[in-house]
Amino acid sequence: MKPSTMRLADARRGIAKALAAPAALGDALQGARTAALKADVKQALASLAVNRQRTVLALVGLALGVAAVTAMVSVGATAKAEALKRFQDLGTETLLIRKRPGSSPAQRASAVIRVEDVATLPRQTATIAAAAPALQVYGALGYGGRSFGTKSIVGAVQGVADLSKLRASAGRFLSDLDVHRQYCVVGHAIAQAMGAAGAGQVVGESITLAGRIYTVVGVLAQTPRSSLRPFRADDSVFVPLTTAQRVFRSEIQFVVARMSAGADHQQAAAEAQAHFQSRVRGLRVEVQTADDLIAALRKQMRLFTLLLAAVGGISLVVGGAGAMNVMLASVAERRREIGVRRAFGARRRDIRNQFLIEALALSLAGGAIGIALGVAVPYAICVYAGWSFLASPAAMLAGFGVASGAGVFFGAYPARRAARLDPIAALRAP
Amino acid sequence: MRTNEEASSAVLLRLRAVRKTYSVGPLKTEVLRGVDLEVLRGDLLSMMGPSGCGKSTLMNIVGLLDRPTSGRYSFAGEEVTELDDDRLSAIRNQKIGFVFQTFNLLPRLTAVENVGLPLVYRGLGEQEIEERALAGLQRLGMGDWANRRPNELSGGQQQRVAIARALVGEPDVVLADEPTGALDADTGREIMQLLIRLNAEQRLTIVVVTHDLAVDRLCSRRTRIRDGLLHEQAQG
Repeated sequence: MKPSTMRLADARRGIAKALAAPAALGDALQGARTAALKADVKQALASLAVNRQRTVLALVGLALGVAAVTAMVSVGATAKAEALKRFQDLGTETLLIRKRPGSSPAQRASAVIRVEDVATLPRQTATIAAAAPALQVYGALGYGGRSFGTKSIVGAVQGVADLSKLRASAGRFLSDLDVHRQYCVVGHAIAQAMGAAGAGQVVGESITLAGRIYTVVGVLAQTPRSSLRPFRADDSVFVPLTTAQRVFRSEIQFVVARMSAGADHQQAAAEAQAHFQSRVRGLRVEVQTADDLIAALRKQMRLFTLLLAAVGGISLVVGGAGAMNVMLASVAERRREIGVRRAFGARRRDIRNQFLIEALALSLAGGAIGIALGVAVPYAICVYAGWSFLASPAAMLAGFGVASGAGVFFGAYPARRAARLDPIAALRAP
Repeated sequence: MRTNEEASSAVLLRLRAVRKTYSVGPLKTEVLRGVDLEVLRGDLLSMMGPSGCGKSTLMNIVGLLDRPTSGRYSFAGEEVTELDDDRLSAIRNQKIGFVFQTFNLLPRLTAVENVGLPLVYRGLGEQEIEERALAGLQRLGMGDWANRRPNELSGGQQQRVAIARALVGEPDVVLADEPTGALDADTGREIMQLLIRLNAEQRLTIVVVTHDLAVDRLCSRRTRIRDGLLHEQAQG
């Protein structure tokens, strides 16, 4: 058999050996003589540098694969931390109850959430401890003769502040004594915009909302976004619910609620739905819980992870095949070298180790690039998405592991072939 | 089995009725047809013959790169025909030095790294390898070229580096396969003089395979290979 012809049986044996490769590597490292190992590593790097084009191609594939794996682990960790943070902010006991659109306009008009039904909710259901109604409309905001564009206007009762974790940094939040008053509380971003427009102290200033004048009684501290807060607090103006209902002719759209300690999410949701349904004919509400949102987020993450895993897997196979090609070419080109080494006393395993180390050097180089990419890309995504980036050591470890695994797996067969070359034939090679 | 007496006896290599048959399908080609040979310590022995006579095959068997189809071969008193690959590698590493026609220096290694190669496979430390390799180069007048790569050296210089590599492990025998074949006449003569000097001064056992009568004439023991058999020439 010509050494250059690769038979199916050989390939199959190669794969079988490759699966046993980690053991071979351990053996290689343990049995290695330090001078030989050093020489091998030096040789490996030099050899990769010589076959630059091929090496680069293999590196790209390996790097993409490792990057995908690293990114996968890193994104997973970041998203988990991000999700945790969001719910830490509002607490996992928070519920968001929304009116579900009715089937006919008549039904929509009659089936409304009433303030008194919200008030009785905590009293009549064991699983819900507190509830506060609110609505959201949009209107033009003006200050000092300047227009600030259309802003979110939230009609809220006093309880919303507590349930939605809104804190006043200056002045106060709306009070239930402000009924029908033209008072408002502005979000952090709006207060800053007013400051930039010349307001020294925002509290006490007057603004116009949809053509009416309101007095600012408080400014909110910066508030993170949350899925269980249907408005962006920083960019909203809060007015008393009663005022909003009167001025904008709007009804209550959602209820922020908190569950009793230890209550079950599903039970709480079911009880809230039953409560409103029994109060108003035809009124249907949907209840969002932290659990629902976490589940949705998980599903989304799983899809993302799956996608990355697929990309990573394909890239690793492509890169690995490239690496194997580089190694096979390297073995073919250096047959005479192998013959010389064998003549001067290299055992088969010395030759195998030499090429295994070369494959490992190749894949670790690809791995290093990949890990850098796999950290940099999620970092960029986090910066873009406004998430806080979490450098995950597990991600880097995974990338490193995948890289060395690929090196050993795809290097095992070429190394085996090199070791099995007949020294005489190898010496006669051109 | 090997005994101390045999190990230090005058006979270094003993081949008895060594045959080598290659079979390609149903065809069998007998390249060696019963070679008997005793190489004594301190011999400078030539094997001469036309190409295709089997001298390369014999050289590969003597050098433990190939195994005879039948026959016995004892190397320094040790029967080697049945040894496994690792053991043969170890004997090559410790006791045989090869010199090739085309030098066979590793192109990416410097001269001193090439010379140190056999010692790497002995598991010696880096520093010792370098010291011994450098000393070996200096003995052959190549100390100034230690850090050159083969392509920066002339043919004669490369062969000197290759000889230094063959000697660095203090082998029992140097096997030189057409050592002057790739060199011009003058350089070839210099290399042969070097081998003769090593043989004379250090009683180094050298086996030279050649098809060049000029090389053959310089050897103290001359053999011919013809039709798969080895014939000893008259001394002198």
